[in-house]
Amino acid sequence: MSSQINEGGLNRLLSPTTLAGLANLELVARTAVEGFLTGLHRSPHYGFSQEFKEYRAYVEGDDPRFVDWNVYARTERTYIRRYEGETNTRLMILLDASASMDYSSGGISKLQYGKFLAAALAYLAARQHDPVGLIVFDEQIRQFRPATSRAGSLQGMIHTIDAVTAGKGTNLEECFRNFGEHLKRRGLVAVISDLYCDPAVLSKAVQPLAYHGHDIMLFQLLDPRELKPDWSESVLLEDVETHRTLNVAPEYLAGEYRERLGNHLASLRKAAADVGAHQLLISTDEPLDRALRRYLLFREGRS
Amino acid sequence: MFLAPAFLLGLLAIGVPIWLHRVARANPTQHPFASLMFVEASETQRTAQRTLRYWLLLSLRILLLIALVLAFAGPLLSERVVPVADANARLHAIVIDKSLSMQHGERWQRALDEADKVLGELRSSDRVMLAAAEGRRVAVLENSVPASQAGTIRGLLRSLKPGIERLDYGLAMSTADNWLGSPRPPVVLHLISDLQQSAAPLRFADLEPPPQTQLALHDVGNAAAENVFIQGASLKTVDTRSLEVTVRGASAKPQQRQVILAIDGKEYARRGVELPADAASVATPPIEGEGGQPGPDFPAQSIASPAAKVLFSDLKLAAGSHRIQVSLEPADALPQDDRFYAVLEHADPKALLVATDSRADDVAYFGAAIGSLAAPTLNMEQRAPDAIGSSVLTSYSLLVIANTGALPDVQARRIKEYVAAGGSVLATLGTNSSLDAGPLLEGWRIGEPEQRSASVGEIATTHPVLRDAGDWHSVRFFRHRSVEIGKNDKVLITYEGGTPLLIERTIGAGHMLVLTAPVDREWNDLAIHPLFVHFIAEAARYLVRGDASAASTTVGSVVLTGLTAVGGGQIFDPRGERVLGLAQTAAADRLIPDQTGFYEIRGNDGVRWVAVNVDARESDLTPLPATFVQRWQAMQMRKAAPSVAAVAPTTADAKPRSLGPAVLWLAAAFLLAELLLANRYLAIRRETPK
Repeated sequence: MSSQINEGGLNRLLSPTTLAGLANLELVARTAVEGFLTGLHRSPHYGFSQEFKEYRAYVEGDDPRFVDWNVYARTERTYIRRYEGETNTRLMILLDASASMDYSSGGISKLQYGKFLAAALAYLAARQHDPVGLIVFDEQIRQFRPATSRAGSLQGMIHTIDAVTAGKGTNLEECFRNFGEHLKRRGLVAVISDLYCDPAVLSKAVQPLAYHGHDIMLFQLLDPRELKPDWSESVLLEDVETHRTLNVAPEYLAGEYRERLGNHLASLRKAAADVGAHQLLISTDEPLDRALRRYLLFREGRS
Repeated sequence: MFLAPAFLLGLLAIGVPIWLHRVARANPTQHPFASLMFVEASETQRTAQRTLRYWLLLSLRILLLIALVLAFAGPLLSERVVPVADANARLHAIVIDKSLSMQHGERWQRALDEADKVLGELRSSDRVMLAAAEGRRVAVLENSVPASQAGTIRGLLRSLKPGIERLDYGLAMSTADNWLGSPRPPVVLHLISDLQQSAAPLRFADLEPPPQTQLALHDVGNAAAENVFIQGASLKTVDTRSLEVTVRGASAKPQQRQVILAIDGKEYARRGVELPADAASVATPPIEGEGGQPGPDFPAQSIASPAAKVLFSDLKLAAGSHRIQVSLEPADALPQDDRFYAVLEHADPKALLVATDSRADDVAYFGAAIGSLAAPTLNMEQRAPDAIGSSVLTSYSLLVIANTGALPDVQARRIKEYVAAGGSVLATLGTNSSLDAGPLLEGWRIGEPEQRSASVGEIATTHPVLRDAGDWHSVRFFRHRSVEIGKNDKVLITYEGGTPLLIERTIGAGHMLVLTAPVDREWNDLAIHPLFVHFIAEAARYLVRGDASAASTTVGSVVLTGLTAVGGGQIFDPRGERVLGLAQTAAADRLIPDQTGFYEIRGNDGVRWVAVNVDARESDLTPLPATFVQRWQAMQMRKAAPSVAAVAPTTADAKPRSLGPAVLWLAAAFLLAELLLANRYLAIRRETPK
């Protein structure tokens, strides 16, 4: 399996800080994806393709276009050819570019990591000729690229991702309501965000998309210091979105804060599961290829 | 108690760190954070803990300030409260006599045994030190060490050898406070010596030991010790061709010896001598004791043993310098004093009369007076000041200068160098109305002649020249002049008003006698007075060392070599080895000989010999009288009373000890701790990501 290739070497190469050193985002995406798990990402839907999979007896209701007439001529039985397609999933990437995504405790920011992830997903889809689209949002939708699999669209997509900068606050509910207008055809929706929102609100916002048949994947990005704050002295913390400040003791951050965050993450997972979506928590110090592998293994498990 | 209590005001500075800490408490560092969604304000509990930790830093800073202020204020601690490690601990100072007399018989071995015995009796809490006394010094061979290291002292004792110099107990005791060191516990001073009578000082008070010192005398001498030695050898005053040798000895029975005279290394003659038995006890004339009261039984330093004189007459010696060695045979238990060395200048000395006008009256008077001398006989030459340029001045024993004012500066400087190298000058000031002192009389101010009569005031009759001065008061002076002299010059005769008439001036190794009045009939009638010839004879004898004695000196005494920085030179000891290193050859005007025999001094003016002998007082083995020893010990008992009570000083004489240095060290420790702690706290407060 390609998932077993040279894990240590790739891990070393694909650490977020190493990737941040690469100037070209396409190169980043290619480096992360190239030679990596080809075939794992299979479409759950069969369609036109050059790759034969199996014959099946024709039953009523099958499209007569797929009957193999050569087989019928030899055997006088009607069989239908089935093919396995590599590219039949419409991928829509929803990238959160709010101010909180710009937070970094020393390594790369969540937004930067999200851009890497978005580019890698786009590259992965384009490599399989899947149509890929992009929506960048914060309090509202800032940018929209419809899904397409045209040749050369990947470069435009990656260029758009590369140009994304952090904006202001977040309004997931409002944004998700508007996503429906842009997501007419069903497909895979990858939401990349830190998901600082009420799980109930999120559930409510995602629900319409799920009902429309979208396969929703929530990539939740958090900084290591958000997951495990390590201050040993009282600090004055400033919210990067609201600029509100609070004097916080390290004991609180080590105890109460982590408990609250853990509850929040659990609630998010449950809310996502309730509406048929899936949540994947990624720390920004996690190597990008490992995050992708987790995602793809998760997808394979589903399929 | 404090040395400078005003510095205690510095304690007010404690308010500064307290204020700084109050400011620091209200200043947490600010950090951005993605979202405060799960965060609540929680300052109170944490601040309380931090304040607690900052109290530690604050305490250190306050202690540092207190220590600094105290260090400057200089706290004093009375010795009453200084803990004493062991009140019975003693410092045993072993002083071993290394003088010549310790070489006699078994004395040195007994001294070593005695020192070993002292070491064996030490207690574990005691300390011990070792010193060797000889000549004018007490050499500390090992400073105070614990009794457990007595082996080191024993090793040093085995390597010690007795010397040839003389020891003076007064010198050793009066300097004890220095070489014992301080601070020190109560001392037991063990003087291991043969307790020679001749080693006692002139003043009994010099024997007083330092405070808190108990004197323990260890007598290793032998009252019945016999020793025969040569006390001296000298030419007879009248007959300078006869050498008289004095032989002394203390013995219970008559002693016979052969006295052998060797000149320039070859035996010249030998005579037999018999010394009578020493039956008489030592006479001990009373001298001044403590507190000005006459003290009994104080020994004289003069030698009182029986003596015999041996005469070697009609020495047929060529002119020049001769090395004379007199020795006794057979040798006795102290062979070092059975030999005597002397240098004999066997030549009629020459005198040079320096005068401008050879027919002047004063020239005639000086010429006549010097020519009439019988002892010493001086061959007289006469030159004008300008004509002495080419002559070698050192060949003359005496220069007579009729008028110092007439000397050109160049010649005056040459004469000054001649004097500095050991020459002698008899000079008069001239008759000129104004006189310049010149280089020869540098530092003098010579006044104008005063046209009024004067007579002689005070005369230093103890001076050899004026010992039989005659009636100087009857000399009439018609004129005189005032002279201000240098502080090192010695006035021998003054006028009634105190103006100097005869002055002795010392330059380097030589002497000058200067008459401030010219020998001129218009100034005085000195030239025709009966005392004139006698005065010139005594002055010449004094200046040319005209006692006709063979010259010698003793080990450890200072010898003026006559070598100058300009001329340089070299000195060879009796074994023929160089005494001066390369760096010393330019400045070796003094020599302290440490061997007996002949030292050879080679300078620009040729070779000179210096004969060195042991001090004859060391040869007199008469022990100190028992009453004297008792008084010595009673004196220190009364003065020091080194009992245990003396260890703890009374309140009155308790000397306070300064704690300043200790407090300063404490401040340094606080500073270090404060730096470490503050650095740690600051590093935490920066909150850099780990």
